[in-house]
Amino acid sequence: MSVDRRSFLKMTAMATAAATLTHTGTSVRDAHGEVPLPSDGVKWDKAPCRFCGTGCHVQVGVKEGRVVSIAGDRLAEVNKGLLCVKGYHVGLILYGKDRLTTPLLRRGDKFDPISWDEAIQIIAERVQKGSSGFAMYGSGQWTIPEGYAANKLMKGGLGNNHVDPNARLCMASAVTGFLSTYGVDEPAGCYDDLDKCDVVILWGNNPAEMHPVLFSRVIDRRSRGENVRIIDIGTRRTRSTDFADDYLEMRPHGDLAIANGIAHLLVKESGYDKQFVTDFCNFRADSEPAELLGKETSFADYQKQIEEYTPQRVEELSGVPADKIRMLADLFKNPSLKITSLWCMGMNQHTRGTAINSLVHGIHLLSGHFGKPGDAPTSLTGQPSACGTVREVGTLAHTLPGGRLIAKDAHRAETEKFWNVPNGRINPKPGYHTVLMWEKFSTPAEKGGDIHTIWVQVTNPGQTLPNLPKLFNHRSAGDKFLIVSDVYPTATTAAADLILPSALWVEKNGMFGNSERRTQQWFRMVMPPGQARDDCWQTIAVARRLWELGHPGMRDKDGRFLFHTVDENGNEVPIWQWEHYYDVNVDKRLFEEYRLFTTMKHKNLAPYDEYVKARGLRWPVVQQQDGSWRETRFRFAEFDDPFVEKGRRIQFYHSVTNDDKALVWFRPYEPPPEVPDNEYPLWLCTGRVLEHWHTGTMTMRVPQLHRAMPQAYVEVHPEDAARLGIGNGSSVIVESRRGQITLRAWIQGRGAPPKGVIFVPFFDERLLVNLVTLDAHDPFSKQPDYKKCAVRLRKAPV
Amino acid sequence: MWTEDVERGATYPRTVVVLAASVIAVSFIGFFVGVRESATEGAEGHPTRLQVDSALVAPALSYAQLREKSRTAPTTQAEALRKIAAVPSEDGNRDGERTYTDVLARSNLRAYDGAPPMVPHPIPIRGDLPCLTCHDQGLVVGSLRAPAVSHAKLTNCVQCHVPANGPFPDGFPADIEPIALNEFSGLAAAHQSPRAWDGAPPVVPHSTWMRQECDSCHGPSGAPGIRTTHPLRQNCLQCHATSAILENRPMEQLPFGSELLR
Repeated sequence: MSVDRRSFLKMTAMATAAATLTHTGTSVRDAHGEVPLPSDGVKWDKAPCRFCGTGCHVQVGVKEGRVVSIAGDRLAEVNKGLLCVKGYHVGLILYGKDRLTTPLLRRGDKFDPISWDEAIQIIAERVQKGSSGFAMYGSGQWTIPEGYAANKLMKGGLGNNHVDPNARLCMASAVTGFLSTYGVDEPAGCYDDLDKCDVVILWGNNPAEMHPVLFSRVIDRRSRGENVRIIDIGTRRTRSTDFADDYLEMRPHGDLAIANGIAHLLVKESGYDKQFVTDFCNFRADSEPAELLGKETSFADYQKQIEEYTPQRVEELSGVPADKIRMLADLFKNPSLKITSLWCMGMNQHTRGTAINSLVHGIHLLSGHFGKPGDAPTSLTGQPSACGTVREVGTLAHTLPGGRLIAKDAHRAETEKFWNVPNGRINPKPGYHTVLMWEKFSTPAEKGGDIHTIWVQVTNPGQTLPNLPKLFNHRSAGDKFLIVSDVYPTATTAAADLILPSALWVEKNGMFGNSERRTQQWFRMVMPPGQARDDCWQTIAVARRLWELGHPGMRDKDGRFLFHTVDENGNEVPIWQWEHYYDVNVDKRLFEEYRLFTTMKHKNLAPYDEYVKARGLRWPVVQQQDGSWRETRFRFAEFDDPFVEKGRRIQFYHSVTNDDKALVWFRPYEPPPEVPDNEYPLWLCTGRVLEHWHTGTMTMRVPQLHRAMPQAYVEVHPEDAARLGIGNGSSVIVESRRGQITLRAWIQGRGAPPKGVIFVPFFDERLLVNLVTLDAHDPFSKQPDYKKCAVRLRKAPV
Repeated sequence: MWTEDVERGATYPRTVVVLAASVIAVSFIGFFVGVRESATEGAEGHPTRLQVDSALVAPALSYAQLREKSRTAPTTQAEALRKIAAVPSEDGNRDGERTYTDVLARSNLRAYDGAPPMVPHPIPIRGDLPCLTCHDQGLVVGSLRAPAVSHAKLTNCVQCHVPANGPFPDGFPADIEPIALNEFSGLAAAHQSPRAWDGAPPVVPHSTWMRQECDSCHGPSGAPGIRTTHPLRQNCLQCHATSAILENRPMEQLPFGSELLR
């Protein structure tokens, strides 16, 4: 590539120490005779990294009100002082030159600055236009208190459940997988499994780039002389493949066949763990009509259904050789091995996402590879608080905090009690899930599009929704209004009617919950730029304005404000006024209220102050007799989980069947909804790269990360390239039935797809691959499939 | 860790050193060729890869081999000393100007002092990365230096160290204009160290986390302006104290008041 070294030096120099080195020569002493160091006056504090669901802790160095340095936190169990390249540069995300610093209102084709007071009034008026058509679209990057406040405003205040997060696009199928297997969400194991396992199976997962610190935790064991076998099951070669002992290349949806093939051999050859299955498992199959919890079935029926998945049949369906299926089954048959399965978007962004999630849990249960350190089926999350804010706080359109469901009368009643709102305040009808919410917003009211306003916080649907031409297109749909709270201009703010500038990461107090049930806390360390303010404050300020306008939902049963907050003397603090927002710790106030919800599903949390002291604690966190708080590493296992009764070994105490047993599912292979044909002969897979996080809003503004990966591309197999006359750097058009984009081809690049498959990363807002992707989604989780659709490729005209 | 039993000094047979030296020379040439204005617009048509003569490339050692090596080929003290002695060093007082220049040059590849440096030369995109061929012990060829790894050997180098000039091959017309500039101003590297009195050993002016191997920057393959003036001494922290504040060690873990240790 053509790079001018001078411009590079100039650019990096701007982001380096160079500017502050102001003198040369020999030792300089200050007035006290001391040699001043650049590090003098740097204050350090802990925070979880802003990016992925791994949940590394960083030490943030702050000097004169600005973040100047980042270090891996050696006291953090997750990362033990190590970070990835994004984490080391996380401090730079605050300082992109185009930070949003004032509320902006669209007037025609341009945006005019307005005051916060006007902005809050406009939002309140949109609510008053009709509460039931007002929706919030949030995120797994919401902090726990932010998500909790939005959830309470919508479900406990406006009485409509149209709040859903981008996590719907990210881990909804993992949730339905856990729920339909164990009756309760989130992994039983934790990252300690990675230190103990003998085998790691990557199910459509590339942790070397997406969860690098966790991957290092595994592969660095090899440098210490330990044996860890890594098996990569995927649709293309990645950096993780380079470290794998076995690479099993499957066709899209082949994972369903592979998991069933392993189960077939376990059962057929009596290789399953009979004692474990007898003691701890029931069997389950799809019901008619299909429902999440399906119908009861017997082991004999299960045996019959799994019969057809012989290694040969699985090879036909998946493309993975029969002897490799046998190899996998032999590993699971061996009780002395410890096997950890890892997955993320490959299994979740899948039109049969719930099915493949429950099948992978199933082979761990059948084989008894469960509940011992190193033996665990573990889903990873892509966002820092997908678990904490979405799954635990319940910010999905059908959920309430603490694992409660809107559809359950008792759950609504209990939530109303905790919120002190009148009986019946919570609407019994679930709200619109993500795809439906945006479809309704992009459809005119007269054609049934009954969402008139969406308020987006901490996410970028204008880039991440699938099939953008259909789902992100409100401008021609009549009286619609898009409100976007963000830190930088994005593909979403470009289409907004009102833009609100938000505080980012350590510019505010916050709490996240990572992939291993670990709840984390940090304090504000620097001030947000200009008029940027906390998302949580924005939510509360709108609630208060609605109170002032007389909205009945903003009062609790006693007539008090929904977010009534008092100081230590019991006097109300007007936290809806920005200048008083930090008079108290609003995070602590909201978190302590939220804690009430967490015991029903045994996801007990400690008091806020315990998290201040810790580098996160894994729930359930239970108080000991000596008053200390103890976290739980291995759920459902007697040796560690305080809620398992003595003598039970394993107890699934939220069992769907109410008998403390988990469910082993039969779910058949089904072909993908769209497969390549003569017209669109190639598979398209989309995903991420190491250097950029999701839509690149933050990382594309970090010079080091931007330079390391400046733009999106399309990976093409050499033979496909040769056939189409494409070379490295050729401009090519990727086209589906929904749309097209022009990209540069990269052959033998970062990843290597097989013949007939192309791959495009989605981080680049200038090259939106979601103009091309499919909006087909899983029937239970409603999560779309970004990993496979049919496209064609041609050389772009010069 | 500083105290870890990491080998110092030469352990490669001479042929390997020569081969490795050739590789780094080729890499540097590749780098400067790579950063020149591209004169070959429209070099499309064939997949291109990094043009390196494979006969010159010494195979990277696997971690198993590294372990094996440390058992089977002990370094003799004499060998180590010969290598160190071969490096020109400046005695006594260092030239402050030189130090300043070298610290500044070092900063250009880092977002802040302590950030992982970017890689200033092309690297393979995937596959077994041969990073340790040069960066295991460090190499000096003429004015070109490949510093030794400053921390315990970890496996996935590109997790933290990314190419400064992008990942794409020659002829790939990437759009390198950033979406927006960044106004981050990172912690500067110290170019002088506090001492109790003139002539006292200076304290370590930076954190030693991920910088446990002093030799990486201050040893034979370090830049002249920050290289030690007394390479024969091996136990650096015997005389050069670290600072609890810079190390970001929690104060409650310290036996004394922090002021004493600063």
